[in-house]
Amino acid sequence: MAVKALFFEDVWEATEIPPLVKPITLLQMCMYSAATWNFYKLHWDTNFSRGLGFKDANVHGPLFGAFLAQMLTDWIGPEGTLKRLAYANRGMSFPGDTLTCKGKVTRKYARDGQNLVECEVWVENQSGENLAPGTATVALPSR
Amino acid sequence: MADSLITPEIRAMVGQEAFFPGTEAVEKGVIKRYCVAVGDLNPLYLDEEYARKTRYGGIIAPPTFVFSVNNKVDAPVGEDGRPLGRVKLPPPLNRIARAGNEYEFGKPARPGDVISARRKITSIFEKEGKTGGLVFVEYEITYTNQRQEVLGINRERLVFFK
Repeated sequence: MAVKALFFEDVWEATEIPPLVKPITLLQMCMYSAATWNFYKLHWDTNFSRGLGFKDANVHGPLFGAFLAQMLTDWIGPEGTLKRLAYANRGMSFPGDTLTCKGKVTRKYARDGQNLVECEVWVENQSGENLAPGTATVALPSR
Repeated sequence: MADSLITPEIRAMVGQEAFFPGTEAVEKGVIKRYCVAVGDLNPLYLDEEYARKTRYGGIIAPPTFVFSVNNKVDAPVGEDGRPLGRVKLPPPLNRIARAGNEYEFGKPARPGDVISARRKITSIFEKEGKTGGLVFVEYEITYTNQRQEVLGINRERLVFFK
């Protein structure tokens, strides 16, 4: 959680976004299925998932997006605005994994009266594999 | 290159629209369940007193909420738990994988919002993959509230294969 405001003047190309760590449990995956009212068995039913040839139940694709969004909103605080987030689900995650969201600023510019910051973001597992590469754009206030 | 996997029936899907009218209004409890499930306890989404003092003037839903929470709780689902109304291609292209999302965030969703969604299939194309043909389907889902304000646009791509 950001405790101080982040201003456009505070970030530069290559500024790192504070990482966000998420331990993955089947229990939490079940909660996410319940909270989103999405009951695809691939995400909570271990027998079903193994029957399809997977090692275990899979973390939901959009949950990676939710984690990346949280990393960004924790960083920018309530005065910043998340404008855009793109990501690809390249790798699977399973109960017992520890995921870490990371990111860094790639560009900043002013346009249409907004101060925009573009970032490269991604989600790694405990083996350092990049499971979800992405990009994001945030708008920040100016001092 | 092998015969195209894109049949006339599949080609005809481009431009197809589906409208999902809003059902029950967003409630603080639904927002809270999403936040606890994701593990994002930002007071902006949970604490009315805190949120009132910000530029939002009250609790809002997290940005990814509109794209992720299924409001149609009585939508028919198949044996595997997936909704029958999802985008799918006819056999033999039964296998599917997610191939990317782009979220464009609009106004934040708030308690009391009735969220409708309009889905439009924007593009279908194929590529040769390592083990066979791949058919990509791209669609755009636009989420609006009862005041016709855009809460978000999700551009999603799926890949279908045999």
